[in-house]
Amino acid sequence: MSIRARRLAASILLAGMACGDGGSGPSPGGAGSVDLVLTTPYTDDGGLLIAVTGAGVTGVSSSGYEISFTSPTDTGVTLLIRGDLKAGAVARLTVPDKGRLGRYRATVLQAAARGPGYQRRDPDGYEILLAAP
Amino acid sequence: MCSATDDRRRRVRRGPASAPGLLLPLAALVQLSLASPAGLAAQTVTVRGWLTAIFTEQEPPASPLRFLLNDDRGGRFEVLLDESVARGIGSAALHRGFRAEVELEARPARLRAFPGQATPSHRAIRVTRLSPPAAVAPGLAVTAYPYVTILCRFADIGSEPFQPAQVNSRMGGSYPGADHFFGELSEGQASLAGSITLGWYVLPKPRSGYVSGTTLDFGAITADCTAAADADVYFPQYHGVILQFNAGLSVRSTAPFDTLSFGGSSALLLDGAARAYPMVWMSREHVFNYVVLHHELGHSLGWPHSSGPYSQTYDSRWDIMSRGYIYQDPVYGYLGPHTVAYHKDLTGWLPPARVWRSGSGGPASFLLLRSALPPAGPGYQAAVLPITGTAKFLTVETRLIGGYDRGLPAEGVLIHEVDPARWDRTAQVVDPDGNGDPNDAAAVWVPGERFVDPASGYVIQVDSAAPEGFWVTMSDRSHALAASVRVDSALVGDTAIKPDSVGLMVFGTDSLTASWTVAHSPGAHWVRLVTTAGQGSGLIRWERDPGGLPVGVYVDTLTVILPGSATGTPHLVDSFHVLPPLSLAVTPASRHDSVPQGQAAPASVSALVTFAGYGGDVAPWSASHGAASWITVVTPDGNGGGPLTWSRDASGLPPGLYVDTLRVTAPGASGSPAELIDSLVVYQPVIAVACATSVLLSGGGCLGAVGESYLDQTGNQDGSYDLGDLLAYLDRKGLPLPSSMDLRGLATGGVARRPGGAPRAHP
Repeated sequence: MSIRARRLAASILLAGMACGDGGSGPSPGGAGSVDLVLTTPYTDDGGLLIAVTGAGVTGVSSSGYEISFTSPTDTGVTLLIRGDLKAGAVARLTVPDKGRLGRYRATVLQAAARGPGYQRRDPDGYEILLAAP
Repeated sequence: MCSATDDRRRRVRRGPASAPGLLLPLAALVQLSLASPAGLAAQTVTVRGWLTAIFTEQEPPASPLRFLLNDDRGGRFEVLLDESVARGIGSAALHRGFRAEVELEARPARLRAFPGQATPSHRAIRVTRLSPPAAVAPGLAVTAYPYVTILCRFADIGSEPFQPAQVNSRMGGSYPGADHFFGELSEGQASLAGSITLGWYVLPKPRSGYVSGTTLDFGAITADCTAAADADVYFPQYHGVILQFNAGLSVRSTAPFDTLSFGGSSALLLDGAARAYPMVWMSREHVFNYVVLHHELGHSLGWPHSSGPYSQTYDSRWDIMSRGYIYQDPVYGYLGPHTVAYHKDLTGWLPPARVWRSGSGGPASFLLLRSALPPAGPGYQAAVLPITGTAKFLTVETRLIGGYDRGLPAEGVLIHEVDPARWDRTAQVVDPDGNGDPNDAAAVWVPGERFVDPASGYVIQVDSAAPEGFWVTMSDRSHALAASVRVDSALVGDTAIKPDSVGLMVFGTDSLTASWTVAHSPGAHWVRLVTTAGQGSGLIRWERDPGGLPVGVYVDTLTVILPGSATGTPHLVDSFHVLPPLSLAVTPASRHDSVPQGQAAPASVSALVTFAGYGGDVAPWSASHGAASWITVVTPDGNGGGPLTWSRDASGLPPGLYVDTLRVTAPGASGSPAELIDSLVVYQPVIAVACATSVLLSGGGCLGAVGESYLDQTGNQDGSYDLGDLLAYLDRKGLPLPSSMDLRGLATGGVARRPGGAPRAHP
């Protein structure tokens, strides 16, 4: 799947989540966790700087990587993840309403390879999706 | 119309060859074959006759003068004179006319001619003067200058827009008639009484037969207009002739392209007397324009234009023969001022006893009387100061408001530089500020001001004002030294004599013989005057003897005394430095700096090379340094004291202390080589990981430019600090991402957890 196709799928996924905001139909509903799922064309990523927009994030964690982040605000939270990154869930957010994920959007701001080069990479090559664990 | 002259009229019958208007083609005179224009161009012909000039309104560099040649056979030509040819004739002759033998190119010149022009134009190759300039009038006596004004109308223009009596009134003795104007300018010596006006007379050709745009056929219109009136006029009884036309003549060739009138002279072969007559040609538009009338009458008297020392002819408001339009009378319109002293002197209107002429050598103080309406008491009306070695001279005159000078731009003493070799604008205002305006304060001298002519050395000083003029002091004797300061040096203990000299310039009419003496401070035993006295300009020589003088600075003053000099006693201050042997020093003896690791841009640093002692101001030196690759000497050599500059480049240097020696060498100087120790510490900056992380997360933080540069240089080296640089640093140091405590207060406030750590909600 190309990057463009993956972005389209992500948009559809987020749109589907947004359709659920009205509460009709099946919805997990209530506070809970949501994963940030990474799609990357590389296999030697050493770190990511990720911006998540949207209010109400109450917790940030990662089960496989080191992570630092700014204090969540009404506009969102910025995360720095370090480790031998692989595609898949890289961090977990705690949100007040899992049924309203359309409020959130995740973007890779910077990406860097692992050592010894630590080259900066084009963030347009990455995709971050929000998905239920 | 001319009854008063009938009984004196003596008619002279003219033969066909002298008939006015009969033109003999020049080519016919030389009987050339016209088969080849080139052949004609190479031919010349010599003609004898009257050569006269007419002042036009052409601005430089175009010739302001047009020349007519009336040959003795009755032919007439317009002659084109190069300035070099004109210069050899002399301005007085050029401006008033003279008999001449002229060698002309046989081929007609195209310049200035227009289709149908009756007077052919030829370029003059050579002009030989056969007579002195035509006389204007004897000076120092009441002289009659009667003019006959002839009203002529063109064959195709029937209007007669004014009557003879009206026109004649402008010549009258009442303000501002020409007789009144020139009576004031000449202090009653010139009278235009007896001037008459006759007309109208019809010209044989339409206006287009004489005038074409900017060109006027002076020869034809003069001959035809005077011939038309000849039956009624006995020309020899008149000083000059004014031709007044019923339409405009030619127009100015530059903006504002206005209609022109003209003045000058022209030879008339009428009534048995061939001579150059003062002439005026007036356009209809100017019939009652007194500025134009007085200006053109001035030309007819032989006055050229005057001006400022610039490129404009009509820029001086001091002379009717320049700008002219300076005062507007409510009845008569614009009126002009007096003419300048040079022109009055040309016409003989300044009594010799009232003109101060330099030559006495010493300074003279006297009352320089006003130019307009001068009182009869003691004083001079002008001063004339010849410039030695040239034909040029200065004129000095007082100009005060009054009479026709009521519209002057200022009151004061006015100076003109007169160069008789100039064919026009002979007198030019001395205007030291060179700002293009000869009417401002810089061009007029008032009490307390002094003018020293840099070319001649003349000194003109205005001492005080008086009701009738200014008290002035002027001298043609002055002197000046080429320098006012001299400095020399010697090595202490040296006994070699140090000779020196300075130029002395002596100005004035007796500059070659004026005697002077030299003096110096009596206590300066180390000075010996070689030249103690002399005459005229020359060199003053002296010697300095350092023998026995201890280290120190010795000062003497040389004074040149020239009795009667307007410039006092110029002096020269002579300083003699007796110096110790040469020594070298470099200060400071060491330089130290520290830079963070990764500093890329070279930093410039300097010290001072100084010499003391004899020869230190020119002593050569060179600089080098040790093996340090991080040093580059920017000033590897020099002469005399000055900065020693080098640069350091710490890029690529790992942390540590680096030391090198810079060495300055000056041959023969004690203290050489002088050394300077340069040390450089390259340090690793302190990096707060929390700050480095905060910069990436929130864009703020406390890392600073040095830290960012260091992290990039030791990271991915892509020119800016980024995530890769932080990862590299953490890996190199084995550090984790900062803890929550590290980030607090840095606008991040986040939490760091080791992999697998339990997430913690942010408060």
